[in-house]
This record gives sequence, C-alpha cells and structure tokens, in this order.
Amino acid sequence: MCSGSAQGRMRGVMMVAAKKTIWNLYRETTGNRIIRAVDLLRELGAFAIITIGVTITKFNVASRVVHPLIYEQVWRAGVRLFAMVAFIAMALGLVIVGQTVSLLTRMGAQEYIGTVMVTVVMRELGPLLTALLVLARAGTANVVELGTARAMGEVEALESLGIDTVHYLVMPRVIGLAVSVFCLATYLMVITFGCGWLFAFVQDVPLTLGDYFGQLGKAMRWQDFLLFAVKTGLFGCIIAVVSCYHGLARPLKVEDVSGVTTRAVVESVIGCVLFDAVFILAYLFV
Amino acid sequence: MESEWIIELEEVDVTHPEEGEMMLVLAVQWRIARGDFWVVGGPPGSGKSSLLATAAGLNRPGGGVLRILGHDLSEATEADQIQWRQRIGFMFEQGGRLFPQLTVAQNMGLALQYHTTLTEDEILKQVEDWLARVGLSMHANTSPARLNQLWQQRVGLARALMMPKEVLFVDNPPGGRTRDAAWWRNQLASLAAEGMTVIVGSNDFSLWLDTAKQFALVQDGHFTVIGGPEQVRAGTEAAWREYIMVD
Repeated sequence: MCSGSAQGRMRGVMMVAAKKTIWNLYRETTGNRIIRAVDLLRELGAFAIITIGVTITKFNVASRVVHPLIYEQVWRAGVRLFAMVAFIAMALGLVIVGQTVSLLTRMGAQEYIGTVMVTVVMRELGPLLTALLVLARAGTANVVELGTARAMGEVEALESLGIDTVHYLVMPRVIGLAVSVFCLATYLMVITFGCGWLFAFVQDVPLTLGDYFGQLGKAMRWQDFLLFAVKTGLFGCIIAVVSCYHGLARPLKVEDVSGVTTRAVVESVIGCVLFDAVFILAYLFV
Repeated sequence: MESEWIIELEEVDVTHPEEGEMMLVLAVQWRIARGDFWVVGGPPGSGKSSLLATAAGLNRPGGGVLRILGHDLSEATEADQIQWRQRIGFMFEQGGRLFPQLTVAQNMGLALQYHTTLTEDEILKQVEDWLARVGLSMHANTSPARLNQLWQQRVGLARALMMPKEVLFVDNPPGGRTRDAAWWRNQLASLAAEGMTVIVGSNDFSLWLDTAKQFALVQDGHFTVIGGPEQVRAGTEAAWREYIMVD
C-alpha cells in the first residue's frame, strides 16, 4: 500500500514536472514568439505613428534639405526600377494576361476580359508584385544604409546637430517609397495590359485594341482607382516603416546589419500580404 | 532665468550607448558652469565618451537628474531636445563621425541649411571661412573618406561650430607633442577665451594644464573631480598617473 502510494505520488510529481516542462517549452517557443510578435507590432505601430506625426507637422520644415531627399528616394526606388518593372510587366502580360485573354475569347467569354484583368492585375497582382520589387531593391538598401549609419554613430552625429532623425532619415523614405510603389504599379499595369493585348494579337485572337481597352475601361470603377492608390501607397509606407525601424530603432553593430535586413524583408512581406487581405474585404463592399 | 550651471548631473548613471542596461559610470555628480574648461580623463573603455555624450544630452542617463541649459532632460520633449542641441556642439572621436555620402562642405553646411533661412551663398561663405580656420580650404568638395582621421576631426569640429554654440564637447582630440595636438589646444583655448564652455575628453592632461580650469577622472565606474591644474601637478603619486600623461 505504502509502496503503491509512493508510486502514485511519484507519478503525480512526474506529471506535474511534465506539465511544467510542456508549459516551459510552450512559453520558451510559441509563447515567447507570440510575445515578441506583439511587442514588435506595438513598436512598429509606435514608430509609424511618430513618422506620421513628423510628416504632418514638419513636411515643409527645412524643405531645402529634406525635399531633395524625397526626390532622391523617388529616383532610387522608382525611376531606377523602370527597366526591371517593364521586364516583369512584359513577362506578366505575355504569360498570364495574354493567355487569359486568348482562353476567354476561345470560350466565348470575352465580356469577362475586363473584369478578370482588373481583378487580377489592377487589384491584386500589380500592387503586390511592385511592392515586392521595391522591397527587394530599395527596402533592403534602406536597412543596410540606416543600420550602418546607426552602427557608425552617424545617427548620433545628426542628433548632435539638432536634426530630427525621423524627419531627415525616415520621412523622405516613407514618402519616396509610397510615391514610387504607386507610380511603378501604374506603369506595370499599363505595360501588362498592353503586352497582354499584343500576345492575344499574335495568337490571332479576334479582339481589336479598341474593344480590349473598352472592356478594361468599363470594368474599372472610380473605387478601383482610389483603392489602387491607397493600397500601393500603403505598401510603400509599410516597406519604408519596417525597413527604417529595423535600421534605426535599436542600436546595432555592423555585424548585426545582415540579420536585421533579412528580418525586415520577411516582416515587410508579411505586412504587405496582411494588408492585401484587408483590402480584399474592402473590395467586397465596393 | 537660466541657472549659473549650464549642465548639471545629479547622481546620474551613465549607460552604454548600445547596450542600455550596462552601467558604465555610477552616480555622477558634476556641475559645469558657464565659461568652464573641463578635461576628463580615464582608462580606455572606462566610459569617458559615454559620459560626455550623456552630459551633452545625446545618451539617455540610466538614472539620476540631468539638467541641460537649466532644463530637466526627463521632462523634455523631443522638440525641446532638438532646440538645446542647437546650442551644444559635439566633436566625436575617431574621425568626427562625418556623413560619408556628403562632401566636406555639405557636412559643414548641413546644420545651417536645416535650421536657418540663410541663402546658399551665405552658407557657402561661412563654410569657406570655417574651412580656412581649420586649414582645409582645398578640401571643400572632397569626400570625408578621402581625408585622414586627423583632418576628419577638424571638419568635425568645424561642423559642430557652424551654428553659434554655448557649449562644446570634444571627445578625444589628438594628444602628445605633435603639431596637431598643439593646433587643437590653441583652437579650444581661443574658443574658451571667446566665452564658450569647453569640455574635453582626453588622457593627455599635460596638453591642457595651461588652458583648462578643471580636471576630472572616470575610473572603475566612478567620476572624480581632481581639481585645477595645481592639483593635477601635485598628484605625483596618484594611481591615475598610470594612464594619464602629465609632464
């Protein structure tokens, strides 16, 4: 009896220990990750709010210093990506749009061409693809630049001159990337539609250019343009805020910069995809 | 009305700038009056540079009360701090932390472009005057990376002083019996004679014995005021003589 009771107690102790271990394991893995994710969201939110505040209150402050930095960002994240975006847009137009147009025409469903194109290219693929291209080119460069500047003490040097680092380093990047993603997405959309028709033309699809663009025009509503502008601008802001946050928010050593860049890319992609999902809800109501 | 103390540290804990939890210097009691000339020494890694950055309001203290130009840092908004920083110059060690993407002239003119409404010609004139003063007129359009560290520090000094300042922090200027060290001593002495409060971080006390009014030491996590040049000269048996140069 005594031995059985001891065994029972032992089993009880072992179960408690196992439960504790499982709890610790949960806390150290999933739990900690959730806490870290919530912390990150809170910090990113705070950083974004500070940036919005500075942008609203200081947009015209020291404009001769800060506005050229905005143009520089538009040049780096926008104009310099023209060739790459054109290449992707042509590929997209020829491979996806052209085939879709051809297929719909053969099936006698020509009247849906406009709706399908607007849904696929204008609402979804165009903004997201452009955002990913800008992230790859400009977002990563932002983290490396700002992270290195932080590690080399240049950010502290700016502060010593009384220069607001959010105003000087973050605001131009946020505005520059928002404008760039919007412009590049528009550019991508136009080339994709054009190349789509070209592919259909080459395949002898009986669809005139006028009919094709007429259908596209009919399928586009003013809400589409508004949401397209908001969505692309927001994607640019997300990439800029996440990349600037990772470059600036924490003290870095030079060897930390590569790891931080990877994190910024992953988080920017997640952020853009999550906001894309939010926009799907918006499209349901318009 | 502002207090006679331009900077006051009461029981201030100085933290590492990159690892905020790491305390470098504890419970610093330091009062800097207008027109003072301080030299702060200490072994490498003792927290001298962090103490200077904290006193200048660039690093947040880990504890205690820091008053800069009469204002408590803990109650200050970011906008207040930006205002004060325009009145405090800081020359960083190891090349002055110049901005590599800007030329020497652009580095120097940045604060004027940002804070003032001076025309580009007026800014250029001031930049040229300062370049002449620091002996680098030929290098206005040079990238800072092409200058050696000693010259970078001179540009760093000029950049810190482009706007009128009340206090100047100079972290680790050249020491020893070199022409550069003498140049720095003469420049800072002339700025102090013009009424500027100067705080220098240096292990070469001998260079500053004729210029500085007060000497202090950062050692083993503590800040100690040694006193004036006489006290420094008198401390022949002191332990700090191991790493502080006093001829």
